[in-house]
Amino acid sequence: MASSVMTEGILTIAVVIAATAAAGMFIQSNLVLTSSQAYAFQDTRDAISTSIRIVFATNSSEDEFKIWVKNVGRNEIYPGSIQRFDLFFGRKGAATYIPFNGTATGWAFLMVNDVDLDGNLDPGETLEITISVPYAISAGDYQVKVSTHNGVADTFYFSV
Amino acid sequence: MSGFGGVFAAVMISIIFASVVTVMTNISASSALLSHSAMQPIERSEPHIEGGEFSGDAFFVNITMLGSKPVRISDLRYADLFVVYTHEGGRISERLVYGEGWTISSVMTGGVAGEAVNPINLEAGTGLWDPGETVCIAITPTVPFSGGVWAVLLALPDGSVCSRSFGG
Repeated sequence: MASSVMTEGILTIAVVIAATAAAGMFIQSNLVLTSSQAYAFQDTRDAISTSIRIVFATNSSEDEFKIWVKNVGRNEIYPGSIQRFDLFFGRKGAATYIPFNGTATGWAFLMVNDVDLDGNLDPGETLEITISVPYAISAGDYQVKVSTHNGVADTFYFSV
Repeated sequence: MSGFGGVFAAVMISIIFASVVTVMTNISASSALLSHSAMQPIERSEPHIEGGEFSGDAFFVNITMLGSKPVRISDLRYADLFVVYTHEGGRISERLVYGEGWTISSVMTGGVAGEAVNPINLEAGTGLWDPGETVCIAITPTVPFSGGVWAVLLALPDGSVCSRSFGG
């Protein structure tokens, strides 16, 4: 009788430990899954709500181009995110990466119609990007591609 | 004792089940919301340039709103108007701001002056540029136009763009 009670006790303790371990493992996994899914969902939603359009581009001096990029999405874009844009520019078919605020070659931006003066690129507002190049601009076909911080891109072809 | 162990195990399994159901519900709800967002494209206006001329010291361009989406006059401050022209042999490209470099001079509907709905009040900056309505915009270049070819491009706040080149 005593050994039977002892056996049941050991079994009970074993079941409790096993069930606790299994529950803990599942709950931990679910928390990780939920967290990952929430991040992925947020990123995807941001990308869906982000949209830009390059509306015009031209040369503004012998070694500078200007392009105008409009926020045509639903999300506002913060200046810190704009600095993380990727810009590719060059002759048609030979565009190369242009660094933000680069020394010889680089780009800088200005918000030309920040209507609410909040410093962000709100839907409908336009960004003026100046691209400096280390050579004299000559006539020909050019292309520029702007990719936002979350991978939404637009390409524009123009001639000077 | 074994009864307590069984109950405890059952409670733990229930917790696991509830946790899994919660996660699945969250994923399902998120997916539904995402699909809803993706399936709601932004409707864009459809401006169309009918014609234009240079007169006095300004360019005048007639633009008709096609499609089904109107544009608020108050939102034109978000619009971008680019004009390209020649000045003393050089090509000028400039972006002009609504109310300063360009403005609406008149509104027509079907070739008749005026409009039937959502009247535009330029002084108050109210009203809608409705589909079917044609606005005549006056563009004042910053330096005198020397003659020859010129072009205009209008980008509205929703990203719709219309452009056209003219001669003379």
